[in-house]
Amino acid sequence: MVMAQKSASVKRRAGCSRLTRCCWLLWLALTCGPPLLLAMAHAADASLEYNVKAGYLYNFAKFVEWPDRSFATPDSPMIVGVLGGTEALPVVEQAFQGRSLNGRSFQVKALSAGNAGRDCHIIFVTRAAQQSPEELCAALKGAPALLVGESDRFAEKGGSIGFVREDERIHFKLNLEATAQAGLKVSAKLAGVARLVKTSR
Amino acid sequence: MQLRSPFENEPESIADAMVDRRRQAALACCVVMSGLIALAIATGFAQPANSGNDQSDFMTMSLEELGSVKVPTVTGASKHEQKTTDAPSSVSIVTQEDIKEYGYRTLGDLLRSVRGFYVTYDRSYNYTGLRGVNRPGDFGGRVLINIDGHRLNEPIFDSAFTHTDFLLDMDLVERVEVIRGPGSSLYGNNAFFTVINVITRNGRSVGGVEVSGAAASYDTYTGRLTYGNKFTNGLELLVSGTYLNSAGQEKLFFPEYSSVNNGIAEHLDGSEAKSTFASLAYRDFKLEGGFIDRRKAVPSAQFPPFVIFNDPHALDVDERAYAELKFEHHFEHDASLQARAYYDHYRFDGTVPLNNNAPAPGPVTLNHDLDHAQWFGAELIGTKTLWERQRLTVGGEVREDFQLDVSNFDVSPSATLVNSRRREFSFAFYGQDEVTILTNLALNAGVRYDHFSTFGGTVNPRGALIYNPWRQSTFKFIYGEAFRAPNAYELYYVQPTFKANPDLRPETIRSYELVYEQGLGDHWRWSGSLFLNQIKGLIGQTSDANGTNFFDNLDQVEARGIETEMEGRWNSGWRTRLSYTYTEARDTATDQILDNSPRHLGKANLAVPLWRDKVFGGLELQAMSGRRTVLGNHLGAFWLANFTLYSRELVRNLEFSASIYNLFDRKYADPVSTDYLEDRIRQDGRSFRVKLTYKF
Repeated sequence: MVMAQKSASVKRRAGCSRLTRCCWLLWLALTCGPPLLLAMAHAADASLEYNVKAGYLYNFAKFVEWPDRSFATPDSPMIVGVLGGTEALPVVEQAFQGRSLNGRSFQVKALSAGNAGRDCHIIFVTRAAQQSPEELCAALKGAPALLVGESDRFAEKGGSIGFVREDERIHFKLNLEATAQAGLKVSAKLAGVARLVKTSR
Repeated sequence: MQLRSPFENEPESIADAMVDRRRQAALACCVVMSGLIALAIATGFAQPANSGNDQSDFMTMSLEELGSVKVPTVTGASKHEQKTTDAPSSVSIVTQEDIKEYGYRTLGDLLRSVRGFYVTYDRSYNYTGLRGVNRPGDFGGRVLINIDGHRLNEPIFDSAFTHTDFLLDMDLVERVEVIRGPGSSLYGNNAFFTVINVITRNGRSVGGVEVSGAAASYDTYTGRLTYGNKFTNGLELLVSGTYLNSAGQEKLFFPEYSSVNNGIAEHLDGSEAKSTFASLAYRDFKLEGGFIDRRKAVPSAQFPPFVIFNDPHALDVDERAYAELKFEHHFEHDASLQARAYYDHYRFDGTVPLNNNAPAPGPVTLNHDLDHAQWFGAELIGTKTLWERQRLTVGGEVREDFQLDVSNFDVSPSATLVNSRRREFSFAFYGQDEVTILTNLALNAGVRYDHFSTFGGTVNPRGALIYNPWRQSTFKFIYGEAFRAPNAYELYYVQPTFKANPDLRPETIRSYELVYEQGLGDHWRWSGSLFLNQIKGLIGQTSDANGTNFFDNLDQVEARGIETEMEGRWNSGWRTRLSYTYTEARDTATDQILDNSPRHLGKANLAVPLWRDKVFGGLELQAMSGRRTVLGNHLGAFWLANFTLYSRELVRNLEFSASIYNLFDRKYADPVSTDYLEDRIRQDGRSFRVKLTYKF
């Protein structure tokens, strides 16, 4: 492999024609322009991943039965708590806006370290949450909450449902021991589609 | 009419006026195409009729539907799966759908559509360039190609095969992760400009027997038979074999050889390739391996002045094989361990027909370049998440190249010019830490120490600060160093006129990059990148005072530029991608732009569902500005378009595609190395391919 070195006659071109230069500029504008316009236009934005997970949460609400004592009245709202981080909450809020299930509306609230969410029906624990699944289970002992998380092996550590990523798609694992301990009844349909796991120490 | 053509003419005789008019028409087409895409972008915010990817749709999806939505991820950037926006590099992902809908025949076709890449072909091998650096004559050692994490680059020439010599049939590819930037902090040698991780399909995605056949221009036929399945006991198997036979172009014209057969090389573009691939997975174990034998006739009379033009003996044979056993286990408390052991084999046999009396007539002497390499090694990687904020990765690799044979000999009269047998040992340690400093600020830092028995040690760090200031936006500040070790060819090809250079050091690169990625709405993603690459010690051939040739660390290059890309996807199947790259890659000694380095690269892709989710159209447009050859001549800018019609399930279990490459029959050439008399080789005009795949 003799590399390029001395070139006796470098035929320098007189320069790109105006038309060619225009073409390249147009191309640059096309690939640059739109985002500048849109960044200014405050487009509605939502993260694809959390949209998919919000869809899952809604499905879980459909296929899980909470004990009667967890709702004050037949039309008390279902409360979805989001724990940790700033990215998931607005997406989940917007997703559940105006939705209802069996006559119940949804209420989404942010949870924090001090407020474990004993009054929530579904608790979504994001990656950014500081507490481990074991801590949360201990804090929520007995409370009829469906604990859904996305950190690694969430369901195996005692959470009710853990999201997993596989082949660029989002699936979930279901821990029936955990849901039984929380007093929740999981429909056969959900158990059939999920991967079942047990709590492992 | 004397038009001032925007493009320089080809050396072949084509009427100037015709060229000008057609080229003006071509530019007009370009503008119209851009206009159409702009229109698509503008109206895209009203969403195409069949789309359905806004927020409310996810809330109406069933569990099964949610489980099939793709959320792009990459595994190779930090050696574990993560979102592309979290990766410490600028990443492009090309999926199996892209391969089918755009009709990619080879990995080279695929890379030509990726932002910043350009692939040149000299009718023997593909050469992959990124961001302005693709020196004629290099074998591709600055691009690391992995199959499922297994290094494909061989130690003789460092080649990264991307043509019909690529071990894997493109139908077996699940996705390709193109991870730009120096990757030596994790991968060591060859991860200079980019790491390309090819992920294979698993057995369950095949789910039975698959038969595929294709017929294409230049009498090209390919056939594939694959069996894949996941069994109830958890065992997953994939076995596949592919055969390719191509006559190539019957007649190829080389003006530099017009005194021999009027400059026409006849029946010298043919190739034949046989490859197999298999993977077996059970629980934590995976055994994987493959083999390819590819023969390509050489029409271009490599190695003047004694090479005989238009001689049927000119042939290159490349054989590559590997087997790897991998073990991966996830433990309690977010820890995992991965162990791999591998064996690799590479063989090259190049025949060059010589007339040692040239230019006087003389007998044909067949000269062979015969190189053989075998190596094995093992790697251990452990990862652990600490305190929910840090993900630590630690790894080590040992490798023994127990056979590195480089030889060159004449058949008759028998003469051995080069005969070198060596061994080489290398080991490495590396570590990487991904720290979440704040919820929207992360630091990814890693370093690797490699030790080679040939030149000693090298340390290569990489650091990336990843910042998400507001929703859907990511800033990445990346600094990395990488190296390319001198290969067996550069170290051991010793003959009377070629001496060894024991002081040969690895080439090094320092890379600075600023990346900004912004998600726009539910469908669009924009990314931009500013880069600066400082490359030192580029290995090249030179000679000493006595005229003896040897390899030395000669050149220094600085490449800087800007890239922008717009990407849109809809659940209905509409997909579009538009990118532009501007690069200035200069030799720091002469301050001249490098050979084979285009300043501008533009690419556009559009995939459209034409009928339900069964028929798709894929259109590609690629444009490259002018390049200089090794002789200092100028090769004009060119553009080309590819179109593929792809259908699935029109007839049950049947996939059918018809593709036209270089749709408008553009004439263009690629620069080649000084191993040839000619400084450029004309590329193919319009060509076709029809392909059928049937699942049992």
